[in-house]
Amino acid sequence: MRLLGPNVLAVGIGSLGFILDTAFASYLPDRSSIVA
Amino acid sequence: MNSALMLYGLPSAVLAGVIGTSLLPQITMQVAQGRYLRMSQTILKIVGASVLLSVPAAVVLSFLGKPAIHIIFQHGAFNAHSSALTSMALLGYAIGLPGLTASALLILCFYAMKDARTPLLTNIGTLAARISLIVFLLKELTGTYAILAIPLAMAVAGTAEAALLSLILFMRLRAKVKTDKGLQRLLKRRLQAKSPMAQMNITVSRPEEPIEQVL
Repeated sequence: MRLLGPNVLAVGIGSLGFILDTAFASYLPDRSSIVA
Repeated sequence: MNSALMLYGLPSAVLAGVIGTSLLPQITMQVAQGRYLRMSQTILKIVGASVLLSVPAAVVLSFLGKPAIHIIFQHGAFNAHSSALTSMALLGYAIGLPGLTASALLILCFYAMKDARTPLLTNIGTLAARISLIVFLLKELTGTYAILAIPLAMAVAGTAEAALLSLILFMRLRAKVKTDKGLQRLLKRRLQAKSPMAQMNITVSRPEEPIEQVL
């Protein structure tokens, strides 16, 4: 449990990073940016 | 972003994923045996080799990325403009390949030492740095270069995380060297060799093992 808890959070934060990347990509001036 | 990330995933998975999977049991065993010196040598060797391999991989990715994108993706709705944007994003990801590879491998070293808290804290710091960098770069970069903001932020934050993790790991291993089982055995053997009884036995005892074997 001592290893599992922080590891779950670390993986969650890693995934959150990619989700936020996509969210920020929608602010890019070029509309093809998300697909590219 | 998504297509570039998919292409970046290949060298990243090979360098960090595959090497990490084979590194973890070895360093876990060394930690369990209390052989921190040997562990630091293994980490230096494997992480160093991975980073050295990731540099040419990043160069290949940035140079051959464009023709690869053209062949794989440029069909139907994915036009030449999309290809240009993807190759630009791939360039940003390629810059971060050595740092992100090192970071992924160093995190495993902490897990081997039964420490999941340090990678979590560095992950939180990296995420915060990444968001700040994205906001900053989105303001600074304009036109076609604007797409570089997100991959570059990931590359810079990942490389900084790798540097921080290696510093923490170096300090932690340095503190644990005193308790290293191999080193203690070596010191014990040297002390025994210096005693008069041991000197008498030298003539009949087996030749000393090399330091590498003792450690």
